[in-house]
Amino acid sequence: MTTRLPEVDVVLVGMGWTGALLAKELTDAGHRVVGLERGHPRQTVPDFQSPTMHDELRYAVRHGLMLDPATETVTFRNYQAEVALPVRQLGSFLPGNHLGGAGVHWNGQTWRFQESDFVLKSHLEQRYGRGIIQEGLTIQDWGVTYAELEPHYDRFEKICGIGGKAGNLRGQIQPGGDPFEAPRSDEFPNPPMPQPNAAALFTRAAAEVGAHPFPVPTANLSRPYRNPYGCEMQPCNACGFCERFGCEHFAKASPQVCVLPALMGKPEFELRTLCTVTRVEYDRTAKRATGVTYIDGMGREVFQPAGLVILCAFAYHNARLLLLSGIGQPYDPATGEGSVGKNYTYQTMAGVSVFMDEGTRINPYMGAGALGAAINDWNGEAFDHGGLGFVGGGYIAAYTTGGRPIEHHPVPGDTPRWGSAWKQAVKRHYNSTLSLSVHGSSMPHRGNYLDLDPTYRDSLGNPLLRMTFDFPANDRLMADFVTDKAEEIGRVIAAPRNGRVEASRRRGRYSVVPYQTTHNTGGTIMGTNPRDSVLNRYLQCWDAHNVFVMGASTFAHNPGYNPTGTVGALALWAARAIRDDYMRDPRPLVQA
Amino acid sequence: MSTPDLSRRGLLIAGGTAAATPVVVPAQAQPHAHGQAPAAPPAPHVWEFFTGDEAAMVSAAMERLIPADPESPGAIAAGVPEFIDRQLAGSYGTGSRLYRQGPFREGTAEQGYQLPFTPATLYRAALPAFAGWTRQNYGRAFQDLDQRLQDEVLRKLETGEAVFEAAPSSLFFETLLANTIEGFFSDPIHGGNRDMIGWKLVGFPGPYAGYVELVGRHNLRFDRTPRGIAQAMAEHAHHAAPMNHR
Amino acid sequence: MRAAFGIAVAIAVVGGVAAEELLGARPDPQRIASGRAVAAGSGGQGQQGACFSCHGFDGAGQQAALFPALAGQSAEYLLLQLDRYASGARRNEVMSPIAAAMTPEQRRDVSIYYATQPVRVPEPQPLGDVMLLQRGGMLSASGGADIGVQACQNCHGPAGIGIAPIYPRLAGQPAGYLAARLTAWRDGEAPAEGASHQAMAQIAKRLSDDDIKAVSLYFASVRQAAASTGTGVLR
Repeated sequence: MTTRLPEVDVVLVGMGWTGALLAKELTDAGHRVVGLERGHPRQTVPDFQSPTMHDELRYAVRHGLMLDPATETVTFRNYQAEVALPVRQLGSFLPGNHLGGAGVHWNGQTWRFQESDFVLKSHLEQRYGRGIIQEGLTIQDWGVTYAELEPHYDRFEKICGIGGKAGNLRGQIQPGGDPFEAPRSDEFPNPPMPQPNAAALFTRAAAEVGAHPFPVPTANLSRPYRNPYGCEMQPCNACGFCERFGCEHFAKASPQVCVLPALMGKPEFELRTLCTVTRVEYDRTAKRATGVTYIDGMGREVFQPAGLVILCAFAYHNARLLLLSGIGQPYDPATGEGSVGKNYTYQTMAGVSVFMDEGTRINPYMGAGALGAAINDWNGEAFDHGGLGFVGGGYIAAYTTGGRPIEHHPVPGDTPRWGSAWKQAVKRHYNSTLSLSVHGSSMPHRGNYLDLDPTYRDSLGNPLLRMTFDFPANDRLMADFVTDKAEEIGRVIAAPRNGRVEASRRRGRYSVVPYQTTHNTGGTIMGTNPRDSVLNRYLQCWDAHNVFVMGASTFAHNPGYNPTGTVGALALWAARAIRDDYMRDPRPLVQA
Repeated sequence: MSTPDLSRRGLLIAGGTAAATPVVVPAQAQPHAHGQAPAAPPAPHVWEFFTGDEAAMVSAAMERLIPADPESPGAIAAGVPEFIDRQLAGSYGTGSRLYRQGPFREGTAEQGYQLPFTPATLYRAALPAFAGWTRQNYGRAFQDLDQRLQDEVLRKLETGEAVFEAAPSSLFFETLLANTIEGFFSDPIHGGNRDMIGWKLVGFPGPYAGYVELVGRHNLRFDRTPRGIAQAMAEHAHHAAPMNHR
Repeated sequence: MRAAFGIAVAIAVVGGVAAEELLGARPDPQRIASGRAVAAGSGGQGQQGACFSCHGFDGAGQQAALFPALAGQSAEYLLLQLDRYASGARRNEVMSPIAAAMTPEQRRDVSIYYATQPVRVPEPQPLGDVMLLQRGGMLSASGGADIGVQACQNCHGPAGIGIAPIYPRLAGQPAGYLAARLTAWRDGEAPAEGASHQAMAQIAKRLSDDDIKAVSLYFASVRQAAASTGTGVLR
């Protein structure tokens, strides 16, 4: 027996970053909004307080803040010819759970994409000719331009209190910033964090090879700050517990710190936790959603009618929800037709370790999630791809995120895996190893996609999402190219320090076992037409004008940057369209 | 994001650890560096998961994975066996955060762990196999072998050369290794890393942390004695004052 | 487009940088001795006032007179305060002229001296309202969800025993002294430079009079066993 509740204006599925932003923007316009969150409520005080939050075993290793795979996981295979099997324990990526979502346990590395990213297909073909895009890559334009998003990037950075140094102010290249960033209308709201030893060593070496280093834009606050919503943030104290942990200091931008204080308690907003949405109710003939059905904390099925449904769940959960709800046409890799589940992309990660003499101290525990320096000389379209045989790129960064020793105890590759020699090596290298991250783009391929698994089910009995993915040849070439550059910088760092340099190259098939990133993107992509995409440029479903989808699932490909800055900018862009246009006259905002 | 560790094996990892033989007393009962009160002797551990023999065997194995050396104590002194015992008796052991629905079938390495074992059932199945295989091939209990032979046995588990009927020996080895490292480096509240032996080895100062003013002081020599989550009690911070009850 | 690997911008840094030590990490007996002379008011070079007359040679301070305890505080922290008094960045009628009259070496040595003094356990004394004390303990351990303030122990260590070298020991300080600091920040006095100190302005603004009284009483009431000396000193 399904309980039917009174209708509301807007129902949000998921209360992480995008849910919080949409709830704030739409309640400000007077709309009645219900936010459904499948996890528990939680707040900075008392839930994130240290020292108990600083428990590496509980939170980093046992994934205390993550979605429990026993509740829901995905199945995985590299290729269609294989049988997908469930990801039985979390590994390669760590989807968040509970109020605030992954916005609680992220590092805070906050980037903008390049201008070319939003028009990638047109740009590449114009610059290099059609042949530049390898057979099988399904690169497309996003339907929105950087210039349109810029004010929303700016606003999201101000909501988060990002610390950084502009490299391109309205077209003027600024010293000390990233000369390859897209033009920004304003400086960052806060200055960068102080730079640790690893970043300083990297900065000097990168400059020596002719690259252009700068401090990474950080959502770890560099000073006290009040954001445009009136929320107060406090300075980061570099405790070294960001990624996989909540911040006890109100110092890492999160929904809890930057949005919820201005949202909770508003009469227009209601938060319901422990509510797992199982489907969007869809009227196929009217091409409209009527609301959502969810299972509440007591196991009861509830129908929440709503004029507008906005999916704000973690990336691949949005794709699964559309598939479970029968909205849009599922992607078929055989024909290339259909769009739901298409262009699932990831992040092509590699790295370089520089093992230095014992006199060089990195003090890795003096860290913060986005503390460090980077270069974008070989990211996106910052460099000429002519003759290289690939498109895309990545940034190279020296981060000092923390020295939590269960997971951070780097040793050279020829060290035994256990025993006395291992122990000696752990002691020797813990404080004098510098790691360079190669954070590469992920281009969509026709064989990489999401659909529903025919066999495995979640704890509520619904089909799991099935992920079919391997790194395309394009991305492997790209990763090798950028890793070469990182290795060269590593050698410059190592030379005067008796150091040795080891690259972790992108080799073998994609595996769900080792952690890489939680940048799962695509699957409900935005685009210019309903044949190639699920959403129009306002993140509105082509097949149901009162369904919008937020988050990284809307990315048509994944550029070589962390996604959250763009996730926030797109959410604010869509929120403005919904609030200023759609709610006044509900209709498809783009004619198909 | 972290640099991926592409070498890490796709097995049942992320777990607890177990087994210190009661006879082994932390070798470094000598007074602590720096005027800190000597650590109170650990309360006697009641094995919750391991039998006495299993505890002795697993403890001996862990001590080979992270051995004591002249400079610093090893896994047993650090309480790693007790840590794993507690982990296996608790929610980790029973397979929390593990998707356990069938059908179970063999997958590729890239698809990760695909067996029905929880950590506890894995140890339960593998420990007798480990004991039996060692006795059969080496004529004695693992804990009674000399260190060279213990290492040889462990290498045969690691490579899968030791074939157990009940569970893959390499899976057991990888789980044991991961659990041992966890027990050596996790906060002492979990029962391992006793006296913060693991943290002192590398110089990790622990969960009481905040360094923003020091970040810019490059190459700083920072060797503050670590402090664990529960150190307030260990350091005897308390109210000594009478209160006026109104 | 920029070519890969242009001409190197040469910033020649060859070889490792010399290790930097935290002040007082390995206290030199000579500096401790000269610090003691400063504490005694006989440091020479125009020194005005003797530290011991208020803070004691043992650095225990004086509860009744609100003179803070210095023993077990980190040398880095103590020196930062003296330097700020000397420069005028932090103002106090008594301390500002004293610090200004000291040489940098005197400020350094006396900081090292007091940092090495063991924390003493003062006599227990009645503390008043038990409910306030309870509130203070809660704010210290888990913060105040109602006022949006994080737990003091995040930075000041368990029960306020300090996290060297940046975060000062609060345990055992005179309640009146702690309350005066919090009140001054709440009323607009700028905390020391540095991000972690800036946080105190934000925090103090959120505390009510009763909250200030509560945390001050709580930290004043915390005692640490005499056996565990030197928590605030790096050795």
